Amino acid sequence: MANFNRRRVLRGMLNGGAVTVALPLLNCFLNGNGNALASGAPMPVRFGNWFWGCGMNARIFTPAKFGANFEFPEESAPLTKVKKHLNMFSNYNAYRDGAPNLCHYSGWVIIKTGQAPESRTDRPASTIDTLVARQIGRTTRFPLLTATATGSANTSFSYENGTPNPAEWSPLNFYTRLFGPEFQNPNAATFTPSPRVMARKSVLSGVMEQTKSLMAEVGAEDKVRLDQYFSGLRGLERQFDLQLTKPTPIAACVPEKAPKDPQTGMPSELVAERHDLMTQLMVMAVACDQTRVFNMAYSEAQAATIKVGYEKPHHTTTHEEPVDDKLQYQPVVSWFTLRAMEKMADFVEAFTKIKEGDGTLLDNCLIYCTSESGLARIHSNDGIPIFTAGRAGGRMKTGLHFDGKGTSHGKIGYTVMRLMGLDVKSFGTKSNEASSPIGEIVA
Amino acid sequence: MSLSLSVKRAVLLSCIATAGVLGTGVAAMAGSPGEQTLKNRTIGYLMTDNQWAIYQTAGAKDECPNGLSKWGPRERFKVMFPDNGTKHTLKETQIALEGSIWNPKAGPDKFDYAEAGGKISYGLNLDGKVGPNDFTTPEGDTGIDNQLFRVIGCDDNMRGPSGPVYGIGHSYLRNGTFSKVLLELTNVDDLTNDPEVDVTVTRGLDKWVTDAGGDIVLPGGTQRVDTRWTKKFVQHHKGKIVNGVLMTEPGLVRILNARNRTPVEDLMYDGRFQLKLTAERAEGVIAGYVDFRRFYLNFNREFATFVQAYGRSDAHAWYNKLTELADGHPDPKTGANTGISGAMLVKFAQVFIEYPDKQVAAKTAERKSTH
Amino acid sequence: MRMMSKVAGLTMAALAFAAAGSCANAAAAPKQPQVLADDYVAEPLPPGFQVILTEREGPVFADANGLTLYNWPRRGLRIGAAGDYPGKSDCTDKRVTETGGFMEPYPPGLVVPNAENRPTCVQVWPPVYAEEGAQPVGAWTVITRDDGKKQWAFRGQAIYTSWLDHQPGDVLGTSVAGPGGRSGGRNIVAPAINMPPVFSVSTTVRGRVLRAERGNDRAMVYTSDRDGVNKSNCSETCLKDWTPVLASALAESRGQFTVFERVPGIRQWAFRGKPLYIRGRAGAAPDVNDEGGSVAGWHDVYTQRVLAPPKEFTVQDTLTGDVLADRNGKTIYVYSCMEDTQDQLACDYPDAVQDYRLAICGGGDPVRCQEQFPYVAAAKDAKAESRLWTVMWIDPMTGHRAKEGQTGAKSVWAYRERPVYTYRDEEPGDILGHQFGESEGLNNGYVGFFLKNVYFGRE
Repeated sequence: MANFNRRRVLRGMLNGGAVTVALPLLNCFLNGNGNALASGAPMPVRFGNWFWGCGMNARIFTPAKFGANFEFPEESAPLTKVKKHLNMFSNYNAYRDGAPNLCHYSGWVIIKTGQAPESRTDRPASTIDTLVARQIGRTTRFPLLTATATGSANTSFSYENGTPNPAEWSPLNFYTRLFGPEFQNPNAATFTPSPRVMARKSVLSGVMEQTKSLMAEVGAEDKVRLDQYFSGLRGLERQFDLQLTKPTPIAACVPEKAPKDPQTGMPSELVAERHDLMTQLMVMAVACDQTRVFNMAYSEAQAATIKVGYEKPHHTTTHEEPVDDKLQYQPVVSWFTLRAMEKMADFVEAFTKIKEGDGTLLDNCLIYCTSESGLARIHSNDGIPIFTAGRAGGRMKTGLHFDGKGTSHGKIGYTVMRLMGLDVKSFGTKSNEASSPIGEIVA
Repeated sequence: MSLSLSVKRAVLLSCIATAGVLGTGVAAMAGSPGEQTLKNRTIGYLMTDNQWAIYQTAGAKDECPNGLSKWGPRERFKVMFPDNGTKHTLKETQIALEGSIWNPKAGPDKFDYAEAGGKISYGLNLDGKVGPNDFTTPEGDTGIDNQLFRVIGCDDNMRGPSGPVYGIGHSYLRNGTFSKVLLELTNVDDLTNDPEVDVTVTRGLDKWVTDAGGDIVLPGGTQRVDTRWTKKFVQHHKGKIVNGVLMTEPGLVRILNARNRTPVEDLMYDGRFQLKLTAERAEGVIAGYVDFRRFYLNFNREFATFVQAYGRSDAHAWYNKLTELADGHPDPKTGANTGISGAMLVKFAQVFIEYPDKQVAAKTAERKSTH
Repeated sequence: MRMMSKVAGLTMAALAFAAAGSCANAAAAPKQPQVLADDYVAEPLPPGFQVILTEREGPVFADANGLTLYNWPRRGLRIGAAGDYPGKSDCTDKRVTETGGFMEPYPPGLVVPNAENRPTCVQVWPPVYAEEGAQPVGAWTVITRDDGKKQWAFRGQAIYTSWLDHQPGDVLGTSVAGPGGRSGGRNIVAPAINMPPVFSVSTTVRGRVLRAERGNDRAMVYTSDRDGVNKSNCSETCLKDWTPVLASALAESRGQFTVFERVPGIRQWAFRGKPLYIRGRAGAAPDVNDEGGSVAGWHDVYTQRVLAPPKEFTVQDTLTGDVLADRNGKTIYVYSCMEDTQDQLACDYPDAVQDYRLAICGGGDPVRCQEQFPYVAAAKDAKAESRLWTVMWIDPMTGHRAKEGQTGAKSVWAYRERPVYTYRDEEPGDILGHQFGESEGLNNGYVGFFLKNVYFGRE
């Protein structure tokens, strides 16, 4: 593998511009057992965050059983397919200690920093992902990648020293960033190659010779993995190409509608589509070690997802929809939560599709899934559910449901930081301060 | 005229001799637990909870037999301007509706309204009579005047704990600083029985002390009085304490009551406080004839139409009902009632009240330029 | 790139005003000579572009004609979003005639007033086009609009001028802070202020107010009459209520900010030589905005102040701060309006459709409107020291501008070329008309002209 540099990337030229194609962790980069890098360094453990807005209804979301072998009830049922990869944390509270309850804000800030904000412009401390990135993100191309399915760069729940990390909001832009030239000159009059060209011709065409050489050198299993990877990439590129291409006019016919702009619109189907594109790109970026810390936001804190045919978006519905007398919950609100859970399950599952060493990419991840409220109707910070997905490189057990009994979320935040290898004495302040992990989760 | 100390002690002793069980934790005698909060015959309280008094039963079955509010702005709009292919203009629809909210006229309305009823409600007997429209409290007090309850009692926005306006109001009382209403009781000898006390209503400046959850305000904090911006609000009432319950004489009561981002003040004519006092807390009602136009104006200033839509509050119906059910404080010129009997359910936590130094007062005189 | 500070005097285009230093509230303060105002960081500009010093907003970027530049970054609304994505312009020459349904609970698709004659976005917000062959300069780039034309962008956001601005120094297209409500998401494009990162400046109706970091938030800063030039006399008991804005060991004086040693080893920031403080003890947050400004001998800090409003106006205390009021003490209100359309055009000025305002103030009846929210009458030749205050002729029955001598026309005071009003308040200090209208008065309604909204303002 002497032809490939330490970063395991293929670089080439396309239409006069540079392209970069990073490679997943092939067997040839690992040791004989497939559980460490060839150099002897351990398999990198990645840290991810996934967010959905407007919480849930504990009545139909929280499994009755704690411990192992729990079952998801109706509102969290979509998670069943990935249950074995998850841990769930219920009945943990985000304590404000006298700070105001800033609707759809206090909850997630407390969970991610352990401190309650005093105002909507207050961003105390730094979010967990940035702390982890400081530790494990220094050797990758991107210390941190943040993306969203909402189409807005402002949908980010990551900030460092008060400065938000804006989200990748356009799948096409995200693709360009990952596979375009490493260093882009913002003052250049034109960007070559354009994303359109990249997608149409495929970045792979810019590294064709290297690819051929690589395929000739790797073993059978790696060939399959590369094939899977390149096929996935090419599939994405075809989607982008289709979206960027204007339809050919057909004589004597009504012109076809222009392809939907993947950047705009909040119907849940469109959000799901963007989410899937972003997920594929993010998985590639993580698998290829372009980053080890990643964030994905399915929706805003005041979720604006729309149900086609229903006039109110998710957040408004949480306030306006009456509680059904028989069901004892808000049925349309529940519908929105189900859509979010479907996508969370898809996100987690996507990481299981990438083989890595003797397991999957998910095995080497710890994905921290949160919302910003418990019952959104009353802006409650109590019982905001948390999930972890992945085994953190074997450090974390899975398949468990924990009862917080009113403990602060800070305990989970501390546990997660320790599992990611951060040697910290505590996490959070005041009632959210924690300095001992949840021992039952540690493998 | 204020009673002399010796006379008050005599009255106090006679009340103790004849009264029933004293409230727990209430005392102003030497060595008793309340002494540390009642100092120099003064004790202070900070308002921590304030909601319009609505008596609620499970499923609203008793008080709202016809169900809760149905016709909020969204529902009203759909009926008035159906989506049937007609191209509606903004002028005839949305801004006309908004205009009618801000320029209300009582009159016939084709939308029915869920008026609250039943026999039970909170409040006080304001007119001293027991009439056919009066309620009885859950404790059995009769002649309760609370027509405002009929207007808002079946409005989903206003009912706790999950009514959006109820919740937002609670949250803003906690988060905000505008409505830090202070009660300073002076001339107090005994928190159990005292025939004459003075009550000053003013406003505090400081954050309060809460539990970890941020919701329960703990007694014992300190509040500096805002002497800079509160001059128009300060009130003085006379009252008495009987069996641990403070009752003030009827008068104009003003309550700072910002339930959202708007600085509003409610007015109650013939208003009075009735609060169960302990050394650490006070709880009860503030009741009187609520200036209904001010009530209506405040509500609409505070809560945008989209918030009213949450719980289907119907501003048009409110104005009609407020006008119809107004039962007090007649306009001297027209004779039409300007007040509607109503009550607030309130809670207070004991605080130590401090007045800032005179420097702040001096600054007030300085700021009379336009620049 | 090495940062250079540039004093405002280099770009004075027809603006001459007194910018008080850190002197805030004293009624009897002597008129200040022309002094430096906001000190901004110079950066490369496209040919013809310049920096103009404005009275209220401080230094702003302007085109070759001196017209203020604005952008329109995309932002989420209650439903959906509007504005420009980076590198694109959503402001087109298409006439928008229906609402977008961005505000709940009303549906989209309602035909807006005067639909057939409604201006387009590019008419109200003319794009700043780039000439053929224009090259990027510094943070300025050229984007290609959907109509094929080239437009300038700053930090990726397309830029525009406003058809309400007529001369250099006008910033009439939008309201940044204080009265004026929503601005349709349009922001002024301005250079960075030359100051240490621990500070920030924000625009208020009084001027550009200075704030400093306090924990994770920003607090008002104050100066004391008892201090000398780069010398603090606040110690012992003073320090119980005031916290010096300390400078780190590596901090260096910058622009109009200096670092001095208040005691050996402890360094403090000063602005124009006056030591700076935050109200309250370190770590504790005062509960009330600008509590320090109420203490005798202490003053808010402004990098520049606006000039005086009409002399006949008064200041009245309210329950939440002080407001500007007319000669009789009646609170003055401004009107704010924005159409619920994709192009988010404002409807708060006399040349815009008046249907919105007339609906709110009078249920569509202009007579009732004038009773409920009367204009503030002005002598026709009245003038204010501040260019923000002018006299205009209005036809009160239509709400539109009128000509002098036109039947029924009134001369009224206007702030930023929008008439101001009073309400049926009963006493001086009443603010019953504050937030009167849609969405707390901000989308179509009235807000009080607060000089300081202590309990609710956030400047």
